[in-house]
Amino acid sequence: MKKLALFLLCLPLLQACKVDTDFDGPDLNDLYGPYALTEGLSSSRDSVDFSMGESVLFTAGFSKRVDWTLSIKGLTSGAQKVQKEFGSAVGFDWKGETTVFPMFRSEWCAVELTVENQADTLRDTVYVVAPKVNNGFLLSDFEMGLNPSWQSFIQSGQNMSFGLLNNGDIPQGQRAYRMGGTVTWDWLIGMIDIPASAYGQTYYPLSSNANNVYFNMLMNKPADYDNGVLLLRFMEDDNEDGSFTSGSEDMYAVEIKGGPDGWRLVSLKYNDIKSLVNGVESAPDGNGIHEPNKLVQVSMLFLANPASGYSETAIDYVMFTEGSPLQP
Amino acid sequence: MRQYWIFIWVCLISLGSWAQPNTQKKVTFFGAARAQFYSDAYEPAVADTVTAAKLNSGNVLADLGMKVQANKQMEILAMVRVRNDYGGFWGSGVSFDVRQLYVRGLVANRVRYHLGDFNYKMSPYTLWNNDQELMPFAPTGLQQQWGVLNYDHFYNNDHSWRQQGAAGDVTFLFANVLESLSLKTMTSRIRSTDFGNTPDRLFSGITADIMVNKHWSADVLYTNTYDLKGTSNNATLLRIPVVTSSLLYRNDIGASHVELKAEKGWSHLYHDQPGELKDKRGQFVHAVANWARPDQGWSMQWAWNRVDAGFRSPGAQTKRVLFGGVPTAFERTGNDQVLRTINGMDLMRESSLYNMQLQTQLMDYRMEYDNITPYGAATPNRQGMDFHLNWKRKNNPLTVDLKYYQGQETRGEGTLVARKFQRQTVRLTYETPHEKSQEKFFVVANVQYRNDQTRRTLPDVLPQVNWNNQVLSTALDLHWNNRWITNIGWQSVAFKGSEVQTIRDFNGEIANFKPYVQDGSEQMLSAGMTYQFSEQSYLSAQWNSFHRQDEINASTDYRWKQWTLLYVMNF
Repeated sequence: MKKLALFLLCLPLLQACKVDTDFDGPDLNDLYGPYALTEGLSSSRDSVDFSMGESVLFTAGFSKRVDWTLSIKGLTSGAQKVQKEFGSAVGFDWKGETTVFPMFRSEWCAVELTVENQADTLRDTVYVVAPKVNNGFLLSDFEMGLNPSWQSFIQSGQNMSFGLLNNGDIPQGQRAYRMGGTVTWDWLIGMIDIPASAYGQTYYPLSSNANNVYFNMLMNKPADYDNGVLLLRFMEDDNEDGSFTSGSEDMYAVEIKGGPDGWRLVSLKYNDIKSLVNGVESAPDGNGIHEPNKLVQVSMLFLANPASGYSETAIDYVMFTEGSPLQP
Repeated sequence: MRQYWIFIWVCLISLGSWAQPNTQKKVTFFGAARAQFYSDAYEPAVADTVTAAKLNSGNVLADLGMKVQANKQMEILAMVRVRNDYGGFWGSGVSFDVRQLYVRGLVANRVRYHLGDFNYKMSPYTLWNNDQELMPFAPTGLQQQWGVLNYDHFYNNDHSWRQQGAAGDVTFLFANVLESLSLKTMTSRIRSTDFGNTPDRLFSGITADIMVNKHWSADVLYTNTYDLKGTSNNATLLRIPVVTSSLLYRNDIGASHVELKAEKGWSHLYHDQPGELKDKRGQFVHAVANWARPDQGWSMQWAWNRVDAGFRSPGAQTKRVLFGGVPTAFERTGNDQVLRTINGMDLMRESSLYNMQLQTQLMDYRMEYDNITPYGAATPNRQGMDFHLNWKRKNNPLTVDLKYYQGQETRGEGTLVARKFQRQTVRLTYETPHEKSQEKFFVVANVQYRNDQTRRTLPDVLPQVNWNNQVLSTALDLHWNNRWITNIGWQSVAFKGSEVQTIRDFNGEIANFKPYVQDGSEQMLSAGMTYQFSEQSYLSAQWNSFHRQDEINASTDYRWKQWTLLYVMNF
């Protein structure tokens, strides 16, 4: 018994000084080893039809983990897709999305792969047969002008510039809608009401899951004007009488102001949109439940401080999507 | 909530008053009082026109406790703390808290129970409160300030953690085969639910001590850190069970005393409904041999341990210091008002940097202070041998203590090459022979030195590890008589070299590395006088001068001078 116990006491020594045959964390050689290109830039196809659900896979490999940037630029539109990652391999599957507007169209694209702190630039080209088709309920892309069933109100101020925009800097298609002007007596410069009836429906064709519904649009903030506020209002018909009644039914709203110059994507999850009174969050007037399936009207109000002078913005490609935000 | 506790305390006082006439019931009042004042001066090496150079702070507090011996088998203790911060007036800065509250007693004269607050420890691999960095090296004048921190946070010399919950133990004696079997168990709540996504988190421990005979004994320990199902909406629940068992042999061979102990344990960190969270498994082994010749004053210890990289034991790996915290004194410095890095002086006085709850993730540590055993004996990813020699002979004024550790990682980080560690520690103490009862002058002098080296050699293109830190401490205490003590001390922490910091993800897995280069030191000088009213009460005035030097970034160089007045009374 004593011998067995003494033997047990000595057992731990059998494990002495062994070092595991694998290691924790990323390989230091991957992070700090010498840099070399182990696999050149290549694409899985020369031409791609995004409208048919095709994609193009770009691959490359390095001897260590690096900060790499893959840039795809439309040679006609100037659209750009930029993908930045940290890793020892490039494996980017492009499905036609855009990072820098305008959106891609049918065109040749130049592909560049650069690595931080390395001089080499790897190049390739790919032809886009047809651009990506975005699924969702499109309110307007303004290609056919303003929907005649929309109702607009424009103040009689100075330099009022409400109308279609076609200046060659349009993010999608050829046209967008511009709102601008100077109104010295009121914050409101102009507004558009977009009722569901403009599409022959009582309610917008959306699901009842507010966490699944997204409102999206492309919006431009000109570099010279920072004073504009775009107020979006979403009016619900809680009692299902076919119309929105102010003061007794839910109206959710969001103010969009500031942000970077130029065109950008604005995507809002419907459930995240609050009820506002004079810009301050407040309790909704109706049942307080976000019900996109009872949405009867969307309104866009362009506002600016009356003392701030001329203000301008533009919108394009206004769309509801379900499941995820718009990925143009 | 506070009113609730106040109500309970008042009720207990009433209970005490009611209990007086009953001879079987006994009420004892006890407590402590403390006054502490700091006067600080900050002297940066580069021009700083923004930071206020002088600060005054302090507090006065009283811990008022009452112990009620309700009957022979039940005891109730309640203690409240009344604290007034320096500058607090008319209620502002004054706090009133329950410091501890418990009920303990015996059931059927066999089972001891303890409900409420209690201090608990198990073993260095299961539940153990390791000392904070630098504290063991502090000269006497600085030890007083460490003592204040430790008292406030219930850090005791027995390395127990303050817990709130329930504990019980029972011992069985046997006539044959075994001498005795002791069973101990405890459960405490280490995190409370937020009634949303954060569930209650509990820590439970079971110990079975088996005494076979006077030579042989064994124990089995089990701890589990676990989230309580149903206390939140979160279905992802953490579990960290740890099981250890040990065998101990002890014998007297001639004039020598010999002890041999071997211990092995396993841990498994996992989640119910884990999602992307990963399991982690690990083991440890520990073998130790002790030899002592009490008649000659020699004792020697040889130990070997191996703790896997995946071994997780929150009870043993939780640190006292929250190195992610920020100091309150001179929080931001320089004209840019950059957050000041925590230093050795902060560790000695900043209550907000200290942790009292067991943590399930490995906490941050400062490699400048300890790069080898930041989580004590249970530091994961370590294996090595240490040798300890001590000489202390009765009636001899000198004590010698030597330690040597050599070890390495069990698993490389980012490479198969393991870091290698070396540690040498020397401690010499001289104490003039004296009788406590005599009012005679005597001297206590102390020198301590620790040298830590970490190395990992890789090809030149990769970041190297060659890190050295040294702690040197000297202290001279002149006891003029039983009341007056003059103490002078100096402590130096030097750190130099290159290391690679690990950056961990939400799983606690290493996600990246960051090279770390330092060359600097922290010097602390201490001088002061202490007047001892009794063994439990003293008044101390200390002057400390702290100097941080950074050879790489001189803008973080500064001096910090501090006057401290400390009055401590226990009753």
